[in-house]
Amino acid sequence: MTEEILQVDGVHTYVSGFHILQGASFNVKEGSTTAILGRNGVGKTTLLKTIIGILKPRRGRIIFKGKDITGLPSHEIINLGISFVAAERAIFGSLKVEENLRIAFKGRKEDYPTLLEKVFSLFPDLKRLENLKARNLSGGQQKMLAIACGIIRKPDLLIMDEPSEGLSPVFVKKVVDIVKELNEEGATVLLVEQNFHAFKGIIDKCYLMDKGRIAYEADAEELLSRPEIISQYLGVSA
Amino acid sequence: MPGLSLLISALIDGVSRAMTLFLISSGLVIIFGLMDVFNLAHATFFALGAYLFLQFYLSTSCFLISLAIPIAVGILIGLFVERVLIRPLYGKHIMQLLLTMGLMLLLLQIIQIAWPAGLYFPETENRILSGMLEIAGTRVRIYKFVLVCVGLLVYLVIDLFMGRTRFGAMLRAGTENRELARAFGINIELLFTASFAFGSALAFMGGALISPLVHATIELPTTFTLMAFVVPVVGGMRSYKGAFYASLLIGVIDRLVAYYFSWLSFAIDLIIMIVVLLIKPEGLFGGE
Repeated sequence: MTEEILQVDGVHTYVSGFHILQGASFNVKEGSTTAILGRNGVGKTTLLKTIIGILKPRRGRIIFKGKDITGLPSHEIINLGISFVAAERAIFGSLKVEENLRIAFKGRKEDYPTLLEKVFSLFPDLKRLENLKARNLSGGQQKMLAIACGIIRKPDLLIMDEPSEGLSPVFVKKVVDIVKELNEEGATVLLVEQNFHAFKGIIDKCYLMDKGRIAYEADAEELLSRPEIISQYLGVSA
Repeated sequence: MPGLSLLISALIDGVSRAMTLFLISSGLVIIFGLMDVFNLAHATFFALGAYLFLQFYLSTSCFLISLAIPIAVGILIGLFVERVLIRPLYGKHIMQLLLTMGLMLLLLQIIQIAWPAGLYFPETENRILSGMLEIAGTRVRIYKFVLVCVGLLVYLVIDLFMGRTRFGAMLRAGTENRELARAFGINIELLFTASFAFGSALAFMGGALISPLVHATIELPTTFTLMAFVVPVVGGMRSYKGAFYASLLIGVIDRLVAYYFSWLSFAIDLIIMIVVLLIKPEGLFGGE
């Protein structure tokens, strides 16, 4: 029986006075790849930002590795072993590529060179661009850097917001491969996506979100056999 | 040749004034860049550094002790002001501005009560502090060159610190995008406190360093409060590099004008600021 690494229980979050999350609840099993799917504006990003403490929930509880992290400051939550890869503006353009990785890294100083080499072996492009300001990278390269920043600290839980957004099919495939590889190495992955079909082969569990709540949950295979659900919540045909 | 010696004096004065301006404004832009707090009391911190330096120099005659004390006081005041006064007002920029204005007025009153007649740097036997040098028929205080070297050194140290250390990278990251810095696990509140203390210490140190050249009177904070506005506006509000080049530009032009067209003196600083605001409102180095 695998344990839940993350439990989100009845979370309500307001953004600028708007009631965005209206009692969202879901769990992430350790070692799984879990997806939260849904159309634009249903509160997916708000949910992720609430988990990592950038937004404070007004009600509800969030448990990570058995510890109540509701309301903790972001840096404390992140340092418990969570990485967050944002959808947009996910890296610091005024910093060099290597500096982005350096500030993302959280472990012991002597482990940094090894992990940097490991990240560079996953993304050979980044090694070549190491000393460039990140704002000079292409959109795809910036996304790779954002993911690299997410994994360099070896998180227990990697949270990714729309990892495929704005990427060419070649890059999307690369992202899917990397998520798969990380997952096989033992990392738990939680991702928010609109592009369900690109990721369906690697997702274990899906939560469909609507109006600030989790409206439907299913295993990926089960969801694939229910095209009417996909079209209802995602607006795409299976 | 009187023309040449006048020019040399003006240029040396200009560069040493530039370093003074840089020492005031560098801390201000580092703090503003990261926290969006424009500390109106910053130039008063600078003046307080000068008073404290002179107070201790007059009683100990030791340059290093007199310099170290204002720096230490600057760090402590920076910590206190950020933690106790600014922190409850995070995100409320107008209230922060009013708060720092109140702090400025309070400190000005304290200065006037503590040192009603001002403090004057004494004549010393020390050649570096009080000696003169003759260049092309002009006698120049040796300490002006010291001030220029110290200003350059401070710039290089800030540049190395910001450019090469992990902490500097975190500061630049927080300046670019605060929310993303949080998502990267950076303790932004700690960064605020550290940078405020660092910026305050820079101001106190700057005041201490220029006090052998200018007397500490109440004109010191009032004049430089305005200049502390002008430099960041010209150089770009978030860039210590911009502050450095803007200080050079304003310092040199200010002194050239003061020597050759003294009726325009002081107004020229504001004219430069207005011209920059009209052509490049983000500041000459604001785009970087």
